[in-house]
Amino acid sequence: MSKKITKIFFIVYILGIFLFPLLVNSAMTSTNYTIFADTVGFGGDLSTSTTYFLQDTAGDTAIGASTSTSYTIKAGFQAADRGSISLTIEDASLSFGSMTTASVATVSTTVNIIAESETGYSLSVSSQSGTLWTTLTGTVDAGSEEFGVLVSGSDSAFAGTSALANSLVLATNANSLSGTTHSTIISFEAAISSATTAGSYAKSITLTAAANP
Amino acid sequence: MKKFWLLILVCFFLWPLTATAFTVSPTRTLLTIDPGGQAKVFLNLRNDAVGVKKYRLETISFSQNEKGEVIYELQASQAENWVKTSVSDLTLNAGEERRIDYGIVIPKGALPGSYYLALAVKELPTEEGEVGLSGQIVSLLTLQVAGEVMEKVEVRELVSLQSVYFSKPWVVELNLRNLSSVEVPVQGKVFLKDPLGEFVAMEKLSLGRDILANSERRLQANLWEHEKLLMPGIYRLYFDITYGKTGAQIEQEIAVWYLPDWLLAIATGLLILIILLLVLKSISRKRNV
Repeated sequence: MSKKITKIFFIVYILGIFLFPLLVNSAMTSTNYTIFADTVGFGGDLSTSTTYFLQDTAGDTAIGASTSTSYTIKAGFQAADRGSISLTIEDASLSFGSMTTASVATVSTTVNIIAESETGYSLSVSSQSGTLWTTLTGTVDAGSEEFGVLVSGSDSAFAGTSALANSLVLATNANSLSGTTHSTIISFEAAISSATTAGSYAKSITLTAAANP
Repeated sequence: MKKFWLLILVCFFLWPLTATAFTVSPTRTLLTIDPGGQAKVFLNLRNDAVGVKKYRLETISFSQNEKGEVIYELQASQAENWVKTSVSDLTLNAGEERRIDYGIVIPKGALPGSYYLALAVKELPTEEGEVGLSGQIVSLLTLQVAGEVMEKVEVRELVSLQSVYFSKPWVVELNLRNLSSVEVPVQGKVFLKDPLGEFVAMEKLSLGRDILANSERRLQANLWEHEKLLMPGIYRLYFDITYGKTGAQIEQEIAVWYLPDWLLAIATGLLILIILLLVLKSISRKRNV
């Protein structure tokens, strides 16, 4: 009999641990919301129209809740971040030379950004064109027709090899910057396969530097 | 020795010829203009390279992806046609600086809200290699057409990557969509309520910079990495997101199970104990028979 009681005790104990919090949290209360109307950024007057759609979700997913408010933009406001951005590409013309299937060819250049910008900067690929292939599976491997880009430096946007694509961010810094030099080494790797047709291949890439919006 | 120094001298002068180096200012401009109104902006361009360089000026649009990264696109918005300059290509000598003026005319029927443009200056390449790199710097121009605008941000997804956690951090994925016609700054906090209903922790969410109009922001937050959470059970996470110039708020909550290591150790111990008891009981029964 005492063994039966011990068993029941164990089962009740374990169930209790798991179920107790459910019982405590089974009731939800509504919450009051406040609109803060005392701080306004540039370029707008506040209006009073406000609509709320609130949810009290008990699951692990909450979707679709939103609020909306409106204000009026008045004309005549102008603000400019008077800082500047300097872009230096140390070597803008890179050559892989004669390539073989036995190795991966690599070329590199250093890009320096000097930004005076409250929002930092980003350096990205804004366009690319040319006959050089762009396929990449993982890393650039000897014997496969592949092309990839690598970046190194304190502001590097990614690690490892990436496929070259429009809008690919190469380097970024979100801090307020006051004119210090930020260097990023950009390397391009290329490999050919036995099926690659002999000839000259080229690629033009535009690197765009800008303040973060 | 003379030959050596001559070589060094030649290299010193030849090296910068392949280099791209120029400066553009200002970096960002915001203008508010009435529909049908006009305005002027300018940018300064300086050639920092040693040789003569050619540049091309373009007005392009920019938008934002889910990570908050900027995407540049030509002919993506009608607003590109609102900005005109008399120059399209220009040549600058080494060290030369030029001011470029732009005229802006907003059509009368333009809807209130933000239009995102980039005044782009691209250096034209002087020679071509197998990989030819061109540099471009853009000065961001946000045109706000005057009028009443609505700020509305929607939580499209707020989900914990796991419903049960045995350790920390707890990873939550958040997807916000800015349905406004203007950009909105966003800030967020998350509060943690333990199984007894007590608020036990708070963390600030890093939501990034402004979400541009009609853009989404997706991010993952690693929560409670440094919090001591001992109690097992259901924890509730209350998200408080403030956005826009009006400071509008969204509140959302999710719930997750937390079963800490110590509980698992005890549960495992108990399970082993029960199995042992059952085995011993079975053995003793067999002996009695």
